[in-house]
Amino acid sequence: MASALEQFVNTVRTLSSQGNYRDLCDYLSKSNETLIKNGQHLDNVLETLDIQQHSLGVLAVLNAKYNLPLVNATNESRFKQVKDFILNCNGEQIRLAPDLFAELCHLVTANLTEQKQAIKGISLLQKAISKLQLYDSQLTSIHADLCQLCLLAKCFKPALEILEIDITGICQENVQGQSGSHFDAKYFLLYYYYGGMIYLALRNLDRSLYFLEVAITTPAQEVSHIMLESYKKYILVSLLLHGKILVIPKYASRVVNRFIKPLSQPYHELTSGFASNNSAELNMIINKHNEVFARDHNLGLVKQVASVLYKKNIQRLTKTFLTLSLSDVASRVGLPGPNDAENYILHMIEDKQIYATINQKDGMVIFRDEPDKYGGPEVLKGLEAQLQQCMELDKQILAMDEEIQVNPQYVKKATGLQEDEQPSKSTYAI
Amino acid sequence: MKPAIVADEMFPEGAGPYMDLEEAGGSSNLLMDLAASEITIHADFFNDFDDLYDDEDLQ
Repeated sequence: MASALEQFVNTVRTLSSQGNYRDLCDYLSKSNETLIKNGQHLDNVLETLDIQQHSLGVLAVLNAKYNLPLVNATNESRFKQVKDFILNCNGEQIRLAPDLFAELCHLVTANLTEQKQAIKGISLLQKAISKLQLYDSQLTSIHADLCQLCLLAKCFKPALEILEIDITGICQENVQGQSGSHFDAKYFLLYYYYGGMIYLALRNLDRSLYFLEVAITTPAQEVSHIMLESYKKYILVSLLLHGKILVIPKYASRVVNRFIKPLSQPYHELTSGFASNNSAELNMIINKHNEVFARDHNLGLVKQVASVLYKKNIQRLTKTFLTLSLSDVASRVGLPGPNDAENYILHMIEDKQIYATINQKDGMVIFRDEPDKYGGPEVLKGLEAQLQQCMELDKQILAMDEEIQVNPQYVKKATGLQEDEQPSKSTYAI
Repeated sequence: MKPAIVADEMFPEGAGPYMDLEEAGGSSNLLMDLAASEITIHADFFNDFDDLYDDEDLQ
């Protein structure tokens, strides 16, 4: 083993045994070049280090390995080493080098994506997240990796387990000396964009819209391509769920109105077509921008929007007519024939979007009034659940407010202000 | 005291410099202009998923 590597091993062993992890992190941040230069001996280094005792050292070596082209080892054996490391490393140690640990997970994710083996990394990244985070509702940059692998593998359940937990804190992964630490906004945006896509695939449109909204309302000074794609999907989900684009919250960055909106012109045209209630016009717009929608991987959603317009128009018919023939329905909403109209109506009855019966003998549809849906114990149960949620949210906001009030940085800034400019004691507390 | 007009409470100092749309030369060239002036970021993010929402059986 080259002497530089021997020195590396000795330093890792000495500093680890002394429990001097801060100095070890500093040392590791300067050792990357040495490790990469001696790439062919890294497996020997790994053999001399213990995963539990020398987690930080092993982490640095594995990072270097993933930054090198494969030489002696196979992809499989390298993945096995990482798997062994993530499952058995010392959580306390790796939380001192969160940037390095997250970077390793990003490299593994990119590699599995390239190898088209996304499913192999899902449980591993779940474990990695639990090792890095201090509490369940803390966002790490690995969350986005897990969502990416779940989307690629079309296996959404593991991602749902993290997506269902509302984020209340962010892991400060990138340590930047005196100026403090920060979290790369890219992974924040990716988490909400991918999360929105997962909920959309699971037909949870409400939650999907919320995730996309978080992405597009993130404070920004530059146009992020992630925000741009989130905005396009936000329009489509908004149309699917509400039949119109919801107003973008006023706290959204000005970048959205200035740049992102003009860059999504085909989607705004689609919205106008939808608002006209004319399926022929909408289909014309879809054909016109077919290439754009396909390139954005949004053609499937756009087709769903077209299908929703047929349904919306059938719903509108129920307000005017009590009975109508299937062929009449077809011609009024622009469907090719009575069979298509029957198909749509059957699905809508199933989904409780309309209340109707079809008389197949004479091909007539009888529309009925919506039954009273505000009675029964389910409604009460739903209300109670929502009240509970509101109360928990209120508690959370009060706790966060209290935390800010005693934050030394806040106190320093607040007391430094002029008397008349001082903020009120608490924004939320009564 | 008359309160100062602040468009965004989170950024009372303003959100930074912006390029006017008029300068950008129309929406079709906007992305190109933005890219040239390095105002766009995250262009390399992974978005190469299959179309997960193409359900022809929805109808």
